[in-house]
Amino acid sequence: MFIDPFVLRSLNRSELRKKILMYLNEIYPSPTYLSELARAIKSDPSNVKGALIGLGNRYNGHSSLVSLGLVEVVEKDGFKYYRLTEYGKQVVKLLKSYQPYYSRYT
Amino acid sequence: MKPVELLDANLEAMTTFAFMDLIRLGLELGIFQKIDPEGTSLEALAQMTSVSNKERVKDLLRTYVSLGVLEEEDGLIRPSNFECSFKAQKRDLKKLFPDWISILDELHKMSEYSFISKEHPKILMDFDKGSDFWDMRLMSEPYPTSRRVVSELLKLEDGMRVVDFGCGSVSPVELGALVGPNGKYVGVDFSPGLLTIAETRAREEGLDWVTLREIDIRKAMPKNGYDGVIMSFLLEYFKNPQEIIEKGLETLNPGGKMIIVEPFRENFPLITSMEFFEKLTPEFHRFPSVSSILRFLEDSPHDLKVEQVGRSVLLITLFS
Repeated sequence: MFIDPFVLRSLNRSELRKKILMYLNEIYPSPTYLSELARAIKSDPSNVKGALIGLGNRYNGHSSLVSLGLVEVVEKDGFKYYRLTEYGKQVVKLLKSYQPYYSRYT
Repeated sequence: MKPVELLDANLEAMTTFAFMDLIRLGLELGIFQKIDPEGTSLEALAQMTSVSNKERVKDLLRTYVSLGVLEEEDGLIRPSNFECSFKAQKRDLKKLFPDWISILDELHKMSEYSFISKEHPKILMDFDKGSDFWDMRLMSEPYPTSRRVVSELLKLEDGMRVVDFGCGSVSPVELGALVGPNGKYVGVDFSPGLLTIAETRAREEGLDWVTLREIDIRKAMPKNGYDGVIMSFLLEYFKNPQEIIEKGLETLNPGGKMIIVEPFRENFPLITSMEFFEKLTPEFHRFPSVSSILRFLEDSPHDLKVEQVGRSVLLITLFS
């Protein structure tokens, strides 16, 4: 599957989105809920929500992790949980492989 | 089906699709409407387009001439009586991999950017500036099939010593894994970006028999003594491919085999179309001719057996 390198590069530059992806990859295939996710990556829930689904001008529709198809929302018993998609898993694998390359050459 | 048949079928289809893309670029630029049936100079035609990189437009026009879509006489370009038809049969379509469609789409987009500037930041064909793009390309078909062809024909197995020229970022792990833990795989490439990705993966997989070297093989070569030499999609980056083949032969042990995988230009009539897109890589020269390689090998002082496998593979055994 071809993944746009500019999407990968943009994710690589965003520490928050990267942390979220890495954590969701760690617990995959389990989903998690917003406050737990924020606690795990030591960030603010509103920022995490912005990175996940977009919030105001931050991470607009085009760059939020859900819009990019990397994270899916699972609704159960009236609660929303977030889980990495199969595509998201591939993106994480590539990000890990490209980490040293990105830090040296881009 | 044999992997080499799949490889050939996909290379053929890729060149056909690249040809259609090439025509599409001309249509987007309005080139065909601008040509005077009596003839227009290359320079005048390029100036008539609204894009800033006129040299790239001229390259497109020259590619049309070389494919026979346009003709050139006395410095004037005219429409030709070009005709081209394609047949799509179910049994052939079944052989085609979906991967390369999106890669060709990317190349098309990059080509559109190249009409703005040859160094446009959206062009990722430079091996170092676009190692991530190249890595994804190398993971996509037809490259995995070309690696299957290499592993089957060289009979790669634990204990063998192989050197892979222009190894890129994927072969060191995929082919390197096959010769370990008792063999040795040496991957050579001149792109530090691709080697960095390969190194990360090889380390992750624990392939400590895989060694990677950043070498320009025109200037230096690893030491002699390999059972297998791999040159897969490599020779198109060299003005003198024979020089590289000779260097490869010099690193082989007697009884060893060298494999060359290329869309040889005589065997793929529309290959020039693909070359227009590949030229976005600064080092790209042209796809090699199998007949000139065969002539070179016939005149070689080495005792060799040369086998042509399908339309895109040469397998060379060195006796002495």
